[in-house]
Amino acid sequence: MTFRPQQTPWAGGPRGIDELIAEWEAKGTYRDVGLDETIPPTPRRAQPIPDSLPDPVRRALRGRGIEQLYAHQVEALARALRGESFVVATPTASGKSLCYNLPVLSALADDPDARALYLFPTKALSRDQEEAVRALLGEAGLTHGAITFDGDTPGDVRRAARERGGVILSNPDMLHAGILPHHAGWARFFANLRYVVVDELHGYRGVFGSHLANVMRRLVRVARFHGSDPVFIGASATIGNPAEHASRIFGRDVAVIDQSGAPTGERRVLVYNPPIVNAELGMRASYLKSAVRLTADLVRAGVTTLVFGQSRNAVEVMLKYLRDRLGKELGEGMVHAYRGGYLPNQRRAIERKLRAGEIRCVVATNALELGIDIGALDAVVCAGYPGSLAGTWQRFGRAGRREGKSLGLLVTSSNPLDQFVAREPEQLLRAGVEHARIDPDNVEILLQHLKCAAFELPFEEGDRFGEVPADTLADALGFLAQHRVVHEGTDAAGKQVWHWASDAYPASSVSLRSLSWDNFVIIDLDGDRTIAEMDWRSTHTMLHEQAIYQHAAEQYQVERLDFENHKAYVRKVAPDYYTTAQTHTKVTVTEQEDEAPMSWSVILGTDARPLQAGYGEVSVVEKVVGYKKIKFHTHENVGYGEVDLPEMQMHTTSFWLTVPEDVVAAFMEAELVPRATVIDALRGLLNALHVAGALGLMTDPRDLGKVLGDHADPEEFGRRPDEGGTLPRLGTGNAGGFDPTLFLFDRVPGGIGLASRLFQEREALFRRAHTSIVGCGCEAGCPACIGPSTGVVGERELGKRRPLVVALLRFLGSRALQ
Amino acid sequence: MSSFRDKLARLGGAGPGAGVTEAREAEAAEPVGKSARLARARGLVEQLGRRRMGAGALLASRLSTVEAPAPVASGVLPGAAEETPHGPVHTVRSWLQPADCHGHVPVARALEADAALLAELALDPSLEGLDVRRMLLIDTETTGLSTAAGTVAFLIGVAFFEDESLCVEQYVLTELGRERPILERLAERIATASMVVSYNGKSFDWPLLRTRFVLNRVPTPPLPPHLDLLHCARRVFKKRLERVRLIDMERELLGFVREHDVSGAEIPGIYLRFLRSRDPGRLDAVIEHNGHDLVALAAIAGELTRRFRDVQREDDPRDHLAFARIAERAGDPERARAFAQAAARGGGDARCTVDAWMTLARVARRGARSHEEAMALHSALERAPAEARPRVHLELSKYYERRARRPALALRHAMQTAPAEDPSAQDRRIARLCARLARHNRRRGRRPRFKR
Repeated sequence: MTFRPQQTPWAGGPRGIDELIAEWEAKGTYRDVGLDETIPPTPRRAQPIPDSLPDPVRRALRGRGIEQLYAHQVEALARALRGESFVVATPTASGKSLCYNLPVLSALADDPDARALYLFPTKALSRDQEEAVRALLGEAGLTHGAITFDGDTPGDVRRAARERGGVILSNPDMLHAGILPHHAGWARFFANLRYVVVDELHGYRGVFGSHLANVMRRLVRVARFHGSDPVFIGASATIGNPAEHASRIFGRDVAVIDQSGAPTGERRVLVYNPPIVNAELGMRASYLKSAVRLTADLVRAGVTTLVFGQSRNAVEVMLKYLRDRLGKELGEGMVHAYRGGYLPNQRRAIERKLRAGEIRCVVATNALELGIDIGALDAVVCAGYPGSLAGTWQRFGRAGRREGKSLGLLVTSSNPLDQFVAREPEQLLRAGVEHARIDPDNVEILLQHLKCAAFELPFEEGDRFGEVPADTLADALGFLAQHRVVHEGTDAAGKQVWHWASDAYPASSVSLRSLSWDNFVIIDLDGDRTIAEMDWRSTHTMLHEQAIYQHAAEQYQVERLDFENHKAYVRKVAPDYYTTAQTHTKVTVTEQEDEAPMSWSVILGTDARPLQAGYGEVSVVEKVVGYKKIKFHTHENVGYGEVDLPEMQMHTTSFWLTVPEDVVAAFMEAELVPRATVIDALRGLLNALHVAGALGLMTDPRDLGKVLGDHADPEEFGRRPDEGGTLPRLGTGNAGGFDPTLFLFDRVPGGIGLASRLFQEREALFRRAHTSIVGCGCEAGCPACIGPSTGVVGERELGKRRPLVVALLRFLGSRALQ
Repeated sequence: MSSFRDKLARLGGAGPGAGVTEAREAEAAEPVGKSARLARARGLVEQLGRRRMGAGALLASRLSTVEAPAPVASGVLPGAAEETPHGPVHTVRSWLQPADCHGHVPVARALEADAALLAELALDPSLEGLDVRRMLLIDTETTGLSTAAGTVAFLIGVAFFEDESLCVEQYVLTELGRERPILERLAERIATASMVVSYNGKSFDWPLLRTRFVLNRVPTPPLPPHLDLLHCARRVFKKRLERVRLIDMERELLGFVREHDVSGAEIPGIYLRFLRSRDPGRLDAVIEHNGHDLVALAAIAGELTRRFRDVQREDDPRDHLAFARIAERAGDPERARAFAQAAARGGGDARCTVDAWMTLARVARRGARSHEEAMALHSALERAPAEARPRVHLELSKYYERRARRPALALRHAMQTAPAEDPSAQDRRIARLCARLARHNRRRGRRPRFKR
């Protein structure tokens, strides 16, 4: 007996994606759709299985009914067999994992001792792939094990992995702290290491990516010591610079394979921006409720739908709402949650039920983004922008996997990034423009890995470390020798050598996922247990005494901050407010790297004479001076307290734009507003630039700092100039002038290249910011465009903050015209 | 952009994982005042005196310390470079005569340990039948506590017997990166040894040395059976002593208390300082510390086996109990019985005594000495405090059900087994015994006298 999908009780309504969208148009729902684009299908490009593939592997493919390979899989195999390192950057569900599994299986089939290392960013993903690789190995009749080696691997399995594992699946953190420092125990593995595979390569950006690149440098050194020179294979989602990114991670030239031979069906892409319900505050209808409503329509129209939420919480809420809406009609089992922690058999059960029609809707966090095969789906709804185009397309790619029509629907929230996307939804179609940026030579990151590397193997005179040349390396090692971390000596041949010379285990104090090494532990005084750890950088603003620390939906108050011992003692409280720290940040330019005209024509369409923008090295001094108590829900300011914590200084890189004092004065005159209002408008512009910058750089907004440098503003510096406050002076001229300067800087000591990139793309940056401010649906300025008022603006001006920023932009442009 | 050097110059420090803290560094660096040094020398004389030194001098270098403290002050590294086929090895060598003692135990006592007894004590059959005269004692001093690639064994100490005398050889790494000849020398020593004896060597010294062999491309020698005395000591003393470090064993087993010993935490700092300054500083103290460890290993091996060979009346009953259990696990019922009896009658506390009787009962059961089992269990019940009684009742219930086949008695004990077994198990036991009692009585043509 074959199973028949449950009959739909609402057979009268629209059926299928196109009919439903037509109905949305009729009902007016469509008014809020900002983008409706149909992407045509692409054909299959397949080739016969090449002869170079060993018989056992060929048999395994045949056994799965695979008689042909996609063109990109054939290319990958050919490159790998030639010993070339490469990165595959093709869309989701294009058979990327075969691109690395085929060469690896070939190597294992030819050489019983061959080994391969697979790295995945999460444990769940490596466990999942372990299963897939084991199945393939079994079908090919190969006896090499595939073993996940991570923090959860029990001791006896660890031994087996070291001694016998053909394919080791792990994560960068484990490689860094658990494998490389113990490489002597892995001698056989490293001696026979043929392939290193890094999946989800696009995810290793910024600090994490810079760390990974250094871990790869260490891996290459260790492999060389044991006599191997592995081929590196990367797999990435579609980004703008896969080859460049992979070359930096792997420290070598890398070919790119980005022409997918996998067919894709027709895909309709919609962006839905919930309507404004309060124009004054720029408040929009709830995106979660909107997503639920649209999803319910889809499911009723017989469209199997996958809904992505941005957080665990969002998923729970949507699940409840969807069950409330659809449960009666369909039965609650028709709507299912899907979380990261599911075991493989639970996942398989969900996949089976989806295929059988027993489940019509799945609500998930990003667990699915990471390459897990859930089977055929007709539509994907993203509740909230996933933060990057690559991420959005990875989610959309989950629907309509091979043939047939599918829908990708993005429902934007009211947060600034989402509203940027909503205002320029066409951006979504330009996937592949985002660049992943890393800087493996960031001095702080590099030094930490040099310590780890010296621990693993001594350095010799003339050695290089990835792309770090010998003389720079010698300088860095000399620095470490000065600090008595390594010992400089000579070997028997009279060559200089640097040996690790400390009783520490350096890898344990280097976390790949952050730059800071000095974590604070947060201790709950009731129960005396550690509830969390926090990066040193965040401590000043989040853990000062009296701060309300929020953890797992509970509020704790910081009772004591033991700065010396890196401990914060908290106690659970139930306040009606939370706290935000008042930080005073001062940026001083220490070295200007480049300077260029800021052409306003990009915004105003004129040939305006430009203002100067620049970038270079800066010193950033941050000091937390106090905090505000903000009432929950109403967001009223209900109190203030002082904080006494030491300053934090860091050297990093910044992008800046200076607005000369006389321009400010002229604008005051033109608009008849006081200086404070102009400063507020500049700050609004800065807020918009900050979000636009984070969006364009595919970076977490927290990694990008922003400061409006002007000592005349007490809110920013808290000190009058005569009290010693200083102004960031730039270039020459404007003697005595207090030129407000907009800084966007890398919030990572040393910088990881965000500032230089902002400088290069400054025009796109301003264009984006301009569009967002002009196009915002609010009246007076809202968190989605220019951010909240700083409070120095008078009642009269408060209502027209946004128009004033628009006027300022135009004024700057027109002035530049003269 | 600023140059890489400028950026380096701006950094505050080398960051975490820099290791040896400044405080410890300072401590290590602090010159030992003359009076302190003299006191140390005096302490050494006393210690040596306590050892009841024979004619042979222990650790010649140390004696010279006593006689002329000045050379140490100026920092002369004890020992000398010895040429080997693989290169020079800086070696400190000293001899102990058979009568030389560590504490009150002569080091040659290790030779009295027969291999069968050692195998039993270590619960390791691979030690059986080995020639104990060819044992190699190993202890290392290292630059850190991990066994990963960056930790170096800068001092590898070995000791072995030649005739009855113990030869202590210590190889000092005088420059990082010159480990090869030392490791080759060590490999030769291991190759001729019948067994390796260490303290925590299974989890620390040997994995670390294996790493050193790999990193220096010296073939890792196959290791003969390895007797790790830490495991033995832990089995014997863990119930009685809080800690079973080597120095705790020295105090407990050998009656030897170290004075002016360097603490383990100081050792990496002392060596790293020597590397930078070439001034041995307190490196001689580290060498002495390592020498003590090796001699102690021999003495402990000897003393532990002596105590395990025959019941020593003066030993603590808890030790007897521990020995009984080791013998029981090793499948030596006679020894187990002897030690369990000694423990049971040794006048120890109730817990020890009850455990001893229970052990005796187990051994008797395996030996099918039913009467002895019953006696032991009843003795246990007699001495057992309230909280220990259910456990004994459970064993008695089993005894009467299975061996004595007296269901009525078994049932009586079964009523009192909670919480030694969980309620459902107890219920099943009672139900089963009731049924069995009923059958039993039917066969005898009587009505059950006992109802639940």
